[in-house]
Amino acid sequence: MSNATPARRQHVIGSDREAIGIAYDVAARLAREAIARDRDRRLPHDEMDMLSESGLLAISVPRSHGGAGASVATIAEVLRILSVADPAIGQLPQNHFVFIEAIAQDGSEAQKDFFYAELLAGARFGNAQAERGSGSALDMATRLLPTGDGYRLNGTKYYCTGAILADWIPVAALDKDDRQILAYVRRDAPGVEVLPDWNAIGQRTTFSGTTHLRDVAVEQSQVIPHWQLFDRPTLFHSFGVLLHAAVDVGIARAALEDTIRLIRSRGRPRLGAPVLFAVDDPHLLSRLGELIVRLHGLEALLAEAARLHDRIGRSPDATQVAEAMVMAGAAKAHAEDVGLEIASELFALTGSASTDAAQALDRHWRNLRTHSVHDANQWRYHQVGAWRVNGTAPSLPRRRRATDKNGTAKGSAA
Amino acid sequence: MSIEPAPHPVVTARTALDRAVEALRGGGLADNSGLLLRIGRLETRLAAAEALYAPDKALRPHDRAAEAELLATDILRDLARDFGQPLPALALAEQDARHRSIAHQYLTAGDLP
Repeated sequence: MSNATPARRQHVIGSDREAIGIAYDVAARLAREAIARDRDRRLPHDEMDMLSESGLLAISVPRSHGGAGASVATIAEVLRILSVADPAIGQLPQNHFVFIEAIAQDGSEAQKDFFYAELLAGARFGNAQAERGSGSALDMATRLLPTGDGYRLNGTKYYCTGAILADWIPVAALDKDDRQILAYVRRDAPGVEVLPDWNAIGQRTTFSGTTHLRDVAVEQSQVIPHWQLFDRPTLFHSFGVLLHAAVDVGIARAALEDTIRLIRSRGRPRLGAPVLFAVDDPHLLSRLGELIVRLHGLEALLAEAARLHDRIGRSPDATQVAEAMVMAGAAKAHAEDVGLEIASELFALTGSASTDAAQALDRHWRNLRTHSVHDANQWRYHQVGAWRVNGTAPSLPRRRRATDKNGTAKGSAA
Repeated sequence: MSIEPAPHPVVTARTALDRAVEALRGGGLADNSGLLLRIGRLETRLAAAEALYAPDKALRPHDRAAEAELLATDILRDLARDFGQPLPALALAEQDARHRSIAHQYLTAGDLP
């Protein structure tokens, strides 16, 4: 297996504390052109290089391999901080960290040595998991099948966040025995085509579009036996949900900070308010106070969910897995509710001037609405309720062979 | 003889939610999807209030117990309406005044901490 990472002058972060400080520095730089990137649907090539060079994308590499071995709380906080500045850039590393964890969970020692070195050199992981047009969102038609001297990978993926700017793309596929594997393929490998066809209303610069995989040659050393995760208790899945939540919590804060900035800069009160200045409007103050308190509660919930992951650690039992999934899911669902409320109330509290398209204040709602529909908010809450009332653990998302509308498996294993 | 201080509303809300859950189980409604959704939302909001009430001081130095009280008050109000639990001690007018005070503080202070 050959290296895919171009020589980037990457800093190696040594501690959690340093990671948080650098995240704030990077976020300040990302914020400068966030509106223009969103407006122009600009591929954030330079921004992702900056992120790589900052060392933030390697913070979860274990200390035993030269990384910072950052806590889950720190990784979530880094994504939250980046997402306040630009949630598209904040979302891009979500899969990246998840697929580092996949290696940590089920990679061989040789795979860990190789990929951790790549990450410390600045490598970025994209993703190619989901597929369209099947009976279930968990269906998969992509196959990794053996040839004489290795494997060939074939399939078409969508929602491939990060793939277009990645060095490596972890691809979910079924092997000849219908087991779920991850094949880490080079972005520039023959047969890999990533299309810039993402056209969503929000999170525009994630470029979460199509990836075609046509007879891509894969070596055994690139294959992670991901199915093993589903046969033992693990926090892998809740970790992914938690990082999604961190993105949404960041958007919520960005919307509230813009709301406060606008109210401060706005002199006159809203039409109908019998006061001289906007800041003396009692209804505005009451509603704003409510939103501030809700955001603080949301941020505390995210932090608590992340710390729960750290407290549980790498050898959870089934109950701990359920607790972590429930807390991460709660944070994600609550982020959607609170964030959308703030992103909408921004306009109600600041008046018509805030709807000027040049300010792009609609991006908060568009970004959160787009990202949060990744899964159903109501079912996240349902999981919390079912766990609380009946002790029913959330089910984990196991991918399977593509089915037709009747739920019958399509195709056959070779 | 000392007088026991009243429990923080976050603690009161936890007790009230526990009672609501028990009533739901006792009433044979533990599989009702609508009620599970409602309990899930309340549990989530209460978890947020609890995280604000007892934060990890090393990570989040701000004392937000007063803000947690406002969140808990809303939860208690919903528990009273939907599950017949006791009403919160904090009156609407007082809660409204505290929200205004917090907003005023942030509008006149520096960055949102």
